[in-house]
Amino acid sequence: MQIKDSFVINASQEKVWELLFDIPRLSKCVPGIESVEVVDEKTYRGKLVVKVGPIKSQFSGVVTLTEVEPPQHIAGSVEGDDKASASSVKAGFSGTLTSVAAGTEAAFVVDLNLRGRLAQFGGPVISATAKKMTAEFAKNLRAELEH
Amino acid sequence: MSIDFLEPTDFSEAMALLSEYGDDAKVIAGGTSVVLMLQQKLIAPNVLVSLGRIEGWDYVRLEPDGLHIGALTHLRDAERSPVLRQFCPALAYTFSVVGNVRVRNQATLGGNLSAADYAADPPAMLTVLGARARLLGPGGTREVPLSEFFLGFYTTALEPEEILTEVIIPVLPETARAAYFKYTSLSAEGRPCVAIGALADFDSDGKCKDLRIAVGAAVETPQRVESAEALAYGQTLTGELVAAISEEYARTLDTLSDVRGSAWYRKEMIRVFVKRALEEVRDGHR
Repeated sequence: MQIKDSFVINASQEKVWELLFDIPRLSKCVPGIESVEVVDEKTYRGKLVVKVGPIKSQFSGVVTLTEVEPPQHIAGSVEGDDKASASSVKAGFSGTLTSVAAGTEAAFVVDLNLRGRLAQFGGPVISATAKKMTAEFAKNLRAELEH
Repeated sequence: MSIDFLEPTDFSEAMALLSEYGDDAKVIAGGTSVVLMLQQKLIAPNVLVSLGRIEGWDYVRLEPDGLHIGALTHLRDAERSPVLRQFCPALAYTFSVVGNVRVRNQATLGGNLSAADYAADPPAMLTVLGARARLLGPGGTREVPLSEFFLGFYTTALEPEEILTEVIIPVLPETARAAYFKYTSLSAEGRPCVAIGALADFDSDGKCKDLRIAVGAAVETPQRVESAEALAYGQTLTGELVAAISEEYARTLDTLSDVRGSAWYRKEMIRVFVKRALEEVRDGHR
């Protein structure tokens, strides 16, 4: 399934870009991040907790960046799994930063492939959860960048 | 891994267990929802706090401020309650179409609402009836209108240590009429693809005084469209007006896609079933 979303932050494109690669600051902004470890400049290993009502999943995975064009475009892939629910996720993503009147627009597209027990939830639950996490991420980015 | 099955005999004991075990505990009543999640290993609590031995919370009774339904009332008992049938036949009908009779004999109203499964029957109907959920927590009790109780998929306004104890439905005007429509796209006893709860009240000239329609199952939480409801106020529900209101519901709601139907299909079915619900409250009986 495809998840597509965008948001605007009142900060310059350079500042937003800088934050995306400042892992300690960035991980404070991503909802549910438990740890991030930089393997090399294009590979990151991390743990992410996602909660939907009573259901809590902990994904461990690797993010690999394949395209990095400062300060406007990144693309890459994510592979991870949640042992407790025997679920795995594979995703390709691409993101773009654009300068707009109100600051910077961040837009992204994720092609998500979820397998295992969590997948039975189906698309609506997954896309609504992604939407909520994006909104929270945008809120945290604003708090971090808009002083 | 084994799970401790604890059976408190009153709500305060149940709450104490919830504070003691925190995230490791899960409340279970009839179990029709929790057991499925356990079987599918979507949740893995260490402790189940069962409400099965708590007595005195399965009742349906009429009080001056409305109908009170204890949270531990089985859906089958609510459906068959003469008091409830007298109070609002459409609500009794709503309970009667949940799953099948085995499910209704086991499932409780509190459990049905607390699970906040979007593909459920009671939430849309109870929302239009203006029902409130009474929640018991460490700080005492509070009441939350159902319109503010469902926050998202499987997510409610219940705090971790709170338990839903009762549902209260305010007295309806003598002249009000209610209807519930369940549309299933798979099997007859399946979950709804679209659920429509409707309530309308008319003056002696047949002009609409009040209209509330909530759509469930096709959206994340039961949704009313106030701009559409407002079209009816002070008006006679003519065929054209009914069509306009149905159209507004179909146009406005952000529907979801799942195994029971695509977002587009659900919009089409909302158009059809809002129309039927409007015709029912206009022409039907209480």
